Amino acid sequence: MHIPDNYLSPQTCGVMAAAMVPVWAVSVHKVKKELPKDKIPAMGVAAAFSFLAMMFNIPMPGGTTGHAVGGTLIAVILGPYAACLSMSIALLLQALIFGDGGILSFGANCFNMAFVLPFVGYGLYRILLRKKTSGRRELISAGIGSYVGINAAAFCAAVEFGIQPMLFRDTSGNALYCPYGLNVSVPVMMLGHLTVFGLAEVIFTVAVLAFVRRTALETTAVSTDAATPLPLKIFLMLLIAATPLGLLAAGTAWGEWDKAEIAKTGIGYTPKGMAKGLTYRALMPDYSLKGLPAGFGYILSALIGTALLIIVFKLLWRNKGEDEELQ
Amino acid sequence: MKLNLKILKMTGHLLSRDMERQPDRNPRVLPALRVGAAVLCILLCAISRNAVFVITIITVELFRLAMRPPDDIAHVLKALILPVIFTFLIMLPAVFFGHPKTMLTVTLKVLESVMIIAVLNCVLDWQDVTQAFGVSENLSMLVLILDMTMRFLMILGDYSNQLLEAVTLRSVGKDSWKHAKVDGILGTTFMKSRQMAEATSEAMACRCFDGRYRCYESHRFSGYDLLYLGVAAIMVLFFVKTQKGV
Repeated sequence: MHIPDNYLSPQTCGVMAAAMVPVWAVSVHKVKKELPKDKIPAMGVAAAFSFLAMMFNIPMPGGTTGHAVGGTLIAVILGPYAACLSMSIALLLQALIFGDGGILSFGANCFNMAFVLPFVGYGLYRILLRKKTSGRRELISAGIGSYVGINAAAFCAAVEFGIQPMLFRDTSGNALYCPYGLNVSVPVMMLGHLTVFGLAEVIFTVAVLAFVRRTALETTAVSTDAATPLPLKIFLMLLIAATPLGLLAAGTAWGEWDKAEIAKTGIGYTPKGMAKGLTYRALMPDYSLKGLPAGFGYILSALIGTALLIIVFKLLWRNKGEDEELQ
Repeated sequence: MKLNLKILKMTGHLLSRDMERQPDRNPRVLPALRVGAAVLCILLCAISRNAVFVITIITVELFRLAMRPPDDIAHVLKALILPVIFTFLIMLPAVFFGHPKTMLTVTLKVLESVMIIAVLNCVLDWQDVTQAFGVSENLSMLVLILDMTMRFLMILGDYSNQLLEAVTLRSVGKDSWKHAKVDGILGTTFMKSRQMAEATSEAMACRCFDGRYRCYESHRFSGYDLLYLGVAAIMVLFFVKTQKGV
């Protein structure tokens, strides 16, 4: 679901980024006002979980791959506004350091995965939960919410892909950016997300939520000195150690092919907008390091991503504490 | 008077930190093991001939740092910024001479070394570090020398600064002796240092301190220590593996 650069026109990217600006502004305001200071380090841990979830690629028949996102999970634990910010920072890190998702299309990716996914998932979770907060009902509500949330996000991504050939073509009639219209993008994207990837999102959300509720981590993760508690450390390390499983899915996700691959998908040409578009060289492209075995590079990437996300949110916690002391 | 006040402040600061940290004392892993592993890690990184080992260690240290409280994170990052930027700037000409890899290697090694020490500083109290060096008489002497050096650097630096200030205030007009003020200050400071060294030696004798740091807390070798030794062994094996075929 990570839209790379040059799949969407700069105009579309601009509109999506502009749409996200008020969402970010409201989220920052709400988090500052409503989220207790103690919960900010937990935002980093939640973002790290989402980051790791996105590293577990799942293969689909036909050579494509996908992954869970975990946006609804963060929304359930910390609220949708905190989820929006956590997901946005995780996506920014993925784009800048690992080249997963584009720089220009960052706004679009945030719209799908940091706005639509957590808000739809959380909204449905709240409706289903009503006032009852029993354990099983909460897990079922979160599971259904996450399933609908990821599908809503995938649908948005499919529409963004699909409208490109309708809006942007060169003089010979070839698409300038994503060459597949709505008739292809919507069924292909939705097929994977309605089946395998949706199920993966449900399993991830329910399993982690059950673990968090059982160990009461949402309260212990915010101890007085904001150090990460041991059960959480162990859980994170287990997830990190398991990330090379994501490499078992050898194919490229639909809509994430590079310039060389796209012509071979059946359209027979590389769209001009892609051929001459922005080329950004990430520090660790595709979660790998030159000269390292793929599995080991994947684990290092998981460690770096997790550590950076937790550090960013812990420093924000520290700054918020200083601001409150000054007031 | 000003000098005494400064020393009192410094002692007070150290004592208050000791009082604050008293409940956490009795570390889970033997401090000597932690210090030894850190030194070994820095040494291995220094002699490493490729970036794989260095990047792996930086990644692991970054993850360890992420698990620390925010104040520790800020403290480590502050300690990292200056040496890394300084090294980067010093090594920048290497890029223009066609060796960008050299610049990257040296900067990464500095980042790794400072990071290991800064994280160790957060994990261990200064008393634990002293205890770690106290395992051997020679290392204990090293701690004493380091301790004295740091202390007297500050005291004598302050003393010479005061002398310079006094001389500057008195040197109005054309005085021939003004040119001799630098060597004069240095000479006086040297004499003062001798006096202080003698006074320290006498004070040590009065308190029956012969320069050896003794540890009165016994640390029983536990499973954590064994685990730490295992991790250190894995680190060495990983180093050997990464150096093969270079």
